[in-house]
Amino acid sequence: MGKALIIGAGAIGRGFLPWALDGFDIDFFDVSQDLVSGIKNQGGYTTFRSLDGLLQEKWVQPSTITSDPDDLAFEAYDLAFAAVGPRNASKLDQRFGELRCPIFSLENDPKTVSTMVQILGKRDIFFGVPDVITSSTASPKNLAKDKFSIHTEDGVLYLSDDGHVSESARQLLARVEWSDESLMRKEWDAKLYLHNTPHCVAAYIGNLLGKTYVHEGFESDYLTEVVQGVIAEMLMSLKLLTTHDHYFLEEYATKELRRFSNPLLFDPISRVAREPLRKLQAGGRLTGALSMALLAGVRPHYTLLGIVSALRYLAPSDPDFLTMSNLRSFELQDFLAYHTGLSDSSLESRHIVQNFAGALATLERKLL
Amino acid sequence: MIDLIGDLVREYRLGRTEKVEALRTKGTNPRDVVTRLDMALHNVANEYVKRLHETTLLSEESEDLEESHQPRFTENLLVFDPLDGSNNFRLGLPSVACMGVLMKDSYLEEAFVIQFSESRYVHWRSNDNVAGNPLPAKGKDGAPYYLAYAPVESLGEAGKILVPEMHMALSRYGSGVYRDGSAGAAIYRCTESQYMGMVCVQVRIWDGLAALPILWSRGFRVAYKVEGLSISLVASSNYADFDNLLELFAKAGNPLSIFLPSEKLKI
Repeated sequence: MGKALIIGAGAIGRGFLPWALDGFDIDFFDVSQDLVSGIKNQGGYTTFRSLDGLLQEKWVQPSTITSDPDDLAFEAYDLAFAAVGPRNASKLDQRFGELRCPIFSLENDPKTVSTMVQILGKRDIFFGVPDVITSSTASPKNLAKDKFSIHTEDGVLYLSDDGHVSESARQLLARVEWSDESLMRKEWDAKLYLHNTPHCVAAYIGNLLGKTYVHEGFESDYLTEVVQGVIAEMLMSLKLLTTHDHYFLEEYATKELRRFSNPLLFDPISRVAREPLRKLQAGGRLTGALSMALLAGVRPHYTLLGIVSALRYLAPSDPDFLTMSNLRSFELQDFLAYHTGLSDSSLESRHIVQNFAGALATLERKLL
Repeated sequence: MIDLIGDLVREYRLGRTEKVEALRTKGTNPRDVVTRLDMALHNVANEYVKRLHETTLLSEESEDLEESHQPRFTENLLVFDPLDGSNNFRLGLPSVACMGVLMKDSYLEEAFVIQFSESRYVHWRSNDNVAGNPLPAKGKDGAPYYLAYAPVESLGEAGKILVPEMHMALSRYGSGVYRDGSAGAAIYRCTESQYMGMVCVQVRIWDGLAALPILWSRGFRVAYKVEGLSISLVASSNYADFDNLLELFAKAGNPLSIFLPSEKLKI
């Protein structure tokens, strides 16, 4: 049996990875002492996987779950995964640099690899793409039985392969897709623009509709139209701008709507929409998508509606709430320049500014 | 104050290429220029203050700063530097900032620094003690310090002793001493961990006051002394350096007080 360390017991770490690491003895590190002591006290937790319209159940019993890196035997692991959130990757405890095994960053941003290499002083850190939707919570019924339970879909874990993982560990990772750099780039582009972009747009528009879970928003025909529209714009842009196989892109795009609207996931809008400023950062999943569409000559009608709905996301519990509430104090191009890094002279900023009022009026007319 | 920040950012965007021209210089120092943008930003703050209840603007560009007209620090005050680094702005150099501090009854209520060239700002409010991203900043190993001081001819006795000593001390503690003409830009670089800290010796109050709460909120140790319209301060993310720098001020007969935002400013 292999041994793995999961740094960050959130959605991906706690919900999805135990399914991908079947056959591994798993330890967890998480900064939340409530989570750590709660799971420790009950001896484990349940992760539910949605497969073919049904929920499968798995009881996960960590050998160690801790908030103190000194409790971990750094030399004992075959693999480690960081799933702490892109903003937290730069705050990882330096002691994780003492791990003898490779670390895979599953942070939705390839730049986190170089950040972690620098912070941890460790070279064998690589990128991975968990192509999966995992909720940060579970259905009310399952939460009543286990408050740490979590729902995930049956996803695929892509890991960068440079021959740095031991053969014995690879054999245990039967469900992992090993990818070279070009394949990883293809998966990442597909995940970022065909999955993450429309997924967060569904959450922002669902928020405008007053919904709690992402799947509930799909009761609205207009939300469905917008999300389909974003997928179509991204699909066209990727076909025009990349050399990725068109069948692969088409196939990827086709399954997305079904994934987002899966009623078994209970994926909270507050999770998918969280930190809108990060998603609006230049090159991120929203303004990066806009750039790509503009560059490809694709009219980004629905993508813009997604950006405008993100700019209207005001959730008091969100880390970006205070800054987002400053939007009314700035002119739009200044807000974008000072909070997302989009220069007021950039094509993206000018497009958003010129079309903001019209897009907002469209959303209000269609949704409210 | 966020509305003021928004208005200032807008004014800078509109004037950054058209209001570079120097209108005049202050005193006999040709480097101490006042550009059209200084005045435009000053006017934005003036309009803002008019909307506040019984608040006086104490700005670098206020025209009547003779002793008899100086506002008292017990009043509600907006201490404001429209364009810290006007000469840099005129020359196209990037170290340019705008700073403001809102005071009520000698308590600091809010403070901000806008670093125009990088489209960034930091905004501190006393009710949540958070300035922008609330991570504590710590200067990276080998980071430099920033040093600012009044023109040599107007330094007091203590200042004349302190300036050469600070050059020596800061060169020892950090990887060098930066003096690039904008304390506001230096505050920002401290919050980004690019500087270990900053020292100001008898600079004008609008050049240094914003550093106190903003750097305190980022985990820096901060000490200061206000005399009339001048301020001396030490802020360091290295606590041993901080103690040593404070000792140098004390030895020069100019002891500083530890800054705590919960206390009235000692004036």
